[in-house]
Amino acid sequence: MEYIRLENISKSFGEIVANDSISFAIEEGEVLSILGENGSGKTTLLNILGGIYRQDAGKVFIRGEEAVINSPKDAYDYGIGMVHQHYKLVEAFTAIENVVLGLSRKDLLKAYSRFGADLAAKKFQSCSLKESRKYVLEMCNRFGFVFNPDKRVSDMAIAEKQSLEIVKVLFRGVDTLILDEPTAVLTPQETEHLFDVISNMKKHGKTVIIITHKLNEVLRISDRVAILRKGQFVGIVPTDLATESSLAEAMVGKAVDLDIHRSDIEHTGPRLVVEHLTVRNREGRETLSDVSFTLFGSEILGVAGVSNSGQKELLEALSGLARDKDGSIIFHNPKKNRPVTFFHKNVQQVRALAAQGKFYFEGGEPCSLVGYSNKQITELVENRKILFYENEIIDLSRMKPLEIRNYGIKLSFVPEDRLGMGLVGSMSVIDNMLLRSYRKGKGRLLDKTKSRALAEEIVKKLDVKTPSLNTAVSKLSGGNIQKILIGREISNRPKIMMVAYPVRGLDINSTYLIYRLLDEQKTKGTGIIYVGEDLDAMIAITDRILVLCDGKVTGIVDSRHTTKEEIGLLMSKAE
Amino acid sequence: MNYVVSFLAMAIKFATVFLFGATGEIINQKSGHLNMGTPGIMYFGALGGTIGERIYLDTVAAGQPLNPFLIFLVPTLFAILFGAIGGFVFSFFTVTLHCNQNVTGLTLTTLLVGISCFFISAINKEGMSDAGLLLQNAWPGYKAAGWFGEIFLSQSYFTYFGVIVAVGAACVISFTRVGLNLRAVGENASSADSAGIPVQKYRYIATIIGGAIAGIGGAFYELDNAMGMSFEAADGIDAFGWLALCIVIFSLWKPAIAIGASFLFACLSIAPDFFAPYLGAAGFVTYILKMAPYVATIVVLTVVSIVDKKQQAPANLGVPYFREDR
Repeated sequence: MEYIRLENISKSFGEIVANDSISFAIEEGEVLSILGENGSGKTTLLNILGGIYRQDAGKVFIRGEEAVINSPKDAYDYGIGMVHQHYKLVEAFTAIENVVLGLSRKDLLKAYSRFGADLAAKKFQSCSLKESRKYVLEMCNRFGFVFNPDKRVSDMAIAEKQSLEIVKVLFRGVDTLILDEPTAVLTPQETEHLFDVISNMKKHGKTVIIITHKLNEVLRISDRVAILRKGQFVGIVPTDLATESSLAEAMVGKAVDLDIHRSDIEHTGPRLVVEHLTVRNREGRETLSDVSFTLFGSEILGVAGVSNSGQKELLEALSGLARDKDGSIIFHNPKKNRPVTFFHKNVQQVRALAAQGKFYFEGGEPCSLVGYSNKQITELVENRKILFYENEIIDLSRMKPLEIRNYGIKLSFVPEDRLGMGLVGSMSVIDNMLLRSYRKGKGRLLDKTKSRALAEEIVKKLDVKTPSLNTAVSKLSGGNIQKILIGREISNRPKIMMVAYPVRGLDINSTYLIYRLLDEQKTKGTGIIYVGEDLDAMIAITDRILVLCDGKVTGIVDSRHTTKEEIGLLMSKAE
Repeated sequence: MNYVVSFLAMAIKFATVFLFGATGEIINQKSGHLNMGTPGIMYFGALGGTIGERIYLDTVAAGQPLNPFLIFLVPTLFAILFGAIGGFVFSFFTVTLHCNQNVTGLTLTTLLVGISCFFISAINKEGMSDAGLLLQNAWPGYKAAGWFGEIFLSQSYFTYFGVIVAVGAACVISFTRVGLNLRAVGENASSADSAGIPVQKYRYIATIIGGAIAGIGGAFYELDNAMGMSFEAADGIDAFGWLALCIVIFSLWKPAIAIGASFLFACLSIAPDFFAPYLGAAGFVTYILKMAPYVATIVVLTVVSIVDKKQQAPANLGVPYFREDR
């Protein structure tokens, strides 16, 4: 039976048309996936249904009658509730406070009676938190949620927050639940649990709408799938009749290659040698214990583990952000037979190293620089006449983050916090390029010409969708933000690159583009540390995988000869 | 002993101006509005109070006795009205017209201080000093209760009302659904919105109520503390408004704590003038002592920023919210 019908819905933000006259109907009691690339307008469309945005044109019909949804409250009144990708919870409040938030006495009484209260039997029904807790717990029993009413949201893990959001929406008695990218931040196990919850809700007669771009999930969980492309409605198909490649094609508009390419090339010797690395957090607890591994040049080393096993701490330690650490981090700067520069050294240091016999002249004869004046040495170095015999070996363990960066060791994008650590959201694409290079300009004034050129190049090469180079980065979609970030980091030829969850929340095209870029970077000699959660993809793209469990290395396996099960076992192998 | 008693009594009285200002501003800030217009709104409340008292005094025929409670009530109602107008203007600019909160607040203070000063000085203050004395008549027989009576029962209607308002605000914020919703709006406006709370309405109402309360503080200072007479010579009320903003931080956004904090700041504020007669030749020291509340403000801000690891401030304080912003 037709339940919700959208008719010619249009919505623009400035010059960007997010939804262009979209019409389709949603059946009662179905699980419908809304599939589309980043920026295709899925979230905007459902935000209109959820009362966050107001459509510029078009109408929404619910059970045949026109519905005017001007606010999230109106949406609730029509029985529509939305769980946003970025959870709408008050961090400082407890779970139960978040659930009853914004509910009037009338709303609460309705909710109570929905979940077992006999209001007629009682003269006066109190609406205190204590009473609400009783009925929320009753509801959680019914739907199979684990719910801790007094836990503060700020103490919750991400999966807990999500289930709290769903509890909050269900307690408001909705018939239709909209989930925006619900699995983007969940582990495989948590995703399974969410799918159980969704089928359970379907059993209870609820309609579930899932916004996603993950093809396997669409096929797994939904009855039908509606596809959007660049703000336009492409079509709606029963999931039984769809395959991954047919959906991908409909979504992108052309056939997509779903294979991850891994170049088989010889590694170029050790690039980073970590030995007995131990890191303690602020409370003095060990977050990494005795971690040892070697990263080679032209290699992608995966780091696997359940969340919070020490991945973040490892990256922070390598980039110099962790203060309290023991052990050695030795960087082999690939300098063999390459010219000496003043980038990290001054004349005195060059003279000292030359005296130790580290350098030779262009022609091949040894160079001790004895008897040369500073001016002569400067001239020789600037003309690139002095070369290294061997790779330069540098201890990074006591260096500051900036010094480490200057050696070409880049901590690139932590997408959980893409805008926090990687880019400045309110600054333009060009200015974000400038963030990495502003120290280099001559004089006091900023030199924007190079940044503009770089921004232009990245936008063109990586196909970033942005209205202009002066648009604030925060206005772009997640995939485009990620492209700008990785483009910038690659642009100054890193020697070691660290990436964390680089494709989390990205659409197919961006995802495969990022995989391609990483592989390309590997063939250029960069050593890459890849922290990820999708084990299939990790096995496909990496050369070796280091498995962390509770801050310890439980194994380093060869990606070409390993299985998901082997890694899964190592991930849970606590001693 | 006598000195102690009269000092404490004076401090409690003086704390009233801070208490109204701080309570009003806490309600503002709980909704996410950093209202720097509060000092100006307090001044504007003083103007309202003065107009109210003039009107009341004019209605009483010459020679007739004045009703102490009405001397409190009529100006208070006017102060509430004027304060509410100030709060409304602030909300109109920040919520409806999307203006920056800091700029709006500072501008509002400058504007209202000017307007209020001008009109207050133009109002005929005849009879106001007698009326001011009558305000202390809440418990006429307070002397019978000894030092306790001197300190706690000799206060004016304004002071008791201030404590009631602060305790009431504390209860509403902590224990009611409206309070929960209000806190949610200040903590995370977009979450509050998606939970169905009308964010704009809450911000409007909180700011209007907060302004009304702050306005009473101004009326108290003008009519009770300064008794309408010494106004031109007195410190500007806006100075106390700024201190009230600091008390908000000092009391960790809790009106109940603001009662104690206001008393503390009142002690620092009155100490210089209170002790000046005993200093003799060293009287110039008073000018240095007069800095005490401001020095305390700096100390408080420093200490709170170090100690306050839990970040007691509403998380969305000063952050505008417009639903369709991306």
